[in-house]
Amino acid sequence: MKNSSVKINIGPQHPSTHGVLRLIAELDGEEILSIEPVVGYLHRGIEKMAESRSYLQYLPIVDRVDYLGGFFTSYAYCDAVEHLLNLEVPKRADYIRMLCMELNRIASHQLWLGTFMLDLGASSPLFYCFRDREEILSLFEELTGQRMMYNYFTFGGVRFDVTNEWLSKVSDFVSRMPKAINDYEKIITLNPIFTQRTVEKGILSPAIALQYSVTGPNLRASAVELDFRKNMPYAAYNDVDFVIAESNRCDSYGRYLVRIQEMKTSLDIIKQAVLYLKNDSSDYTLNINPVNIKVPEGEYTSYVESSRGLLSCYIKSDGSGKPYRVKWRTGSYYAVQVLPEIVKGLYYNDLIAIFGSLDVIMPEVDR
Amino acid sequence: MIDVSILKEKFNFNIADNKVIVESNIIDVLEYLKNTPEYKFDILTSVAAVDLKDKIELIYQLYSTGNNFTLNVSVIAENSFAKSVIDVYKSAYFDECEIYDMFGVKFEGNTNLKRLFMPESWIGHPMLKSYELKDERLVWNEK
Repeated sequence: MKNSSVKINIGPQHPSTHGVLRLIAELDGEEILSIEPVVGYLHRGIEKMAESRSYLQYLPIVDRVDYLGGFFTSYAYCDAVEHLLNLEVPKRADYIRMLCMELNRIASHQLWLGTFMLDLGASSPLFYCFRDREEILSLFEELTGQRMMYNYFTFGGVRFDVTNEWLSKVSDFVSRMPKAINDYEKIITLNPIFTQRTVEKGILSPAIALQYSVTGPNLRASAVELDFRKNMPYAAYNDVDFVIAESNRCDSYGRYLVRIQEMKTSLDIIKQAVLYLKNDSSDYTLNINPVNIKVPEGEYTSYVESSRGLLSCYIKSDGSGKPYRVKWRTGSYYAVQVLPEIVKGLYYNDLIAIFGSLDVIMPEVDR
Repeated sequence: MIDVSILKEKFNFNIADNKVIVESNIIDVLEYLKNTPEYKFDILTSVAAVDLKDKIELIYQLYSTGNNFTLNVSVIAENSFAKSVIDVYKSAYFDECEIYDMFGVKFEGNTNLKRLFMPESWIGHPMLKSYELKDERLVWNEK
């Protein structure tokens, strides 16, 4: 049987690799014998860049670590720097940050859902998702001036305050979203074409997931309740009520269900944040001058639950104005690694569906 | 909080704010931390390498889902050699390849160690402090 195996190359410019991922697949007919991911096509040296820039100069670059979740990476970096500087961020800033991150999580999941369905050959969900994602991006544009690379969080708070008018727009959006999510679910959840390609496909057992350090929605779909918003609360997550989305299905379908549920959870958190911000008029920043910031010697790792799993930023400072070392840990990096393990023995056409369900984006892997 | 004093006796650790510095065999330490019920560090969240100019420090960042606790285990890679931990945590494979690629640390026991991000023909290890922007090895790109 081994003699009939064929090695084929997939990518790196394959539309369903969500960036530039190359897979070397060994197939026997249509059955996958082994798969080897080759990464590095989007490597920009973001960690090396930190060492030649001041803390402030590095701030706009961190958005590019995960360009679909710029707020998460900004938060992880700011949080680590603030801890090293011993700064206590104002409550209002924490709430604004949390609000932005949750909106970002919804936008990120919508993009995932649209492109995942596109991978499976369904093109209409993409339009549904992008219709609503557009609203979030417009909100971000109004608040930060940018649609993708926000550069909005700064050391000790955020750059601009939110206005009540903007908050009303967010409320409007939040009230429309449950119907939109219902729309997605109506065309996807019970769709037989979708269920045939996802139910009991790509089984990721809890033991394998932990062994490979898979986190985020992928892990929660494997019956492990680990959410850093609850386990190690940061920003204002301690003050809001929310339920962790979880599924014990362990398959691609479970990962879809968890992400849909997470969008709803995010809406709950946003509602509470808007309510707080409307009745609060305290400071949104500490107003420190970030230009000549000198960070005391030390090291710190911040842990953030991004839309693709645990995002952590390790900073080592030598007391100068530039970071000595910055290390990013991202969710996709480990999700790519687990792919060979879960597609072994399946058919080639399952590969794209399973890879899509893991929500991997390459800038995060290569950095 | 987890009591790390037992570890101190067992492995002769130096402990400084949530970081333990290991001088003995890293595999034994990680295996102990992973399998002992009181600790049960089941996730290796990442491995960070830091170039301290005369030596390279490897920081294994562990997380325990049961105890909800993080621990950083630091070990020095002597002469750019370290022991591979992929038998304990499989997720370390990419990390080790990346550290080899970026810092030139060779991991004993990782049989498939190769460059992760840079092309195989790349000369040098870019994340080392001695590797600067005007480094002549960068002419690789021009060719």
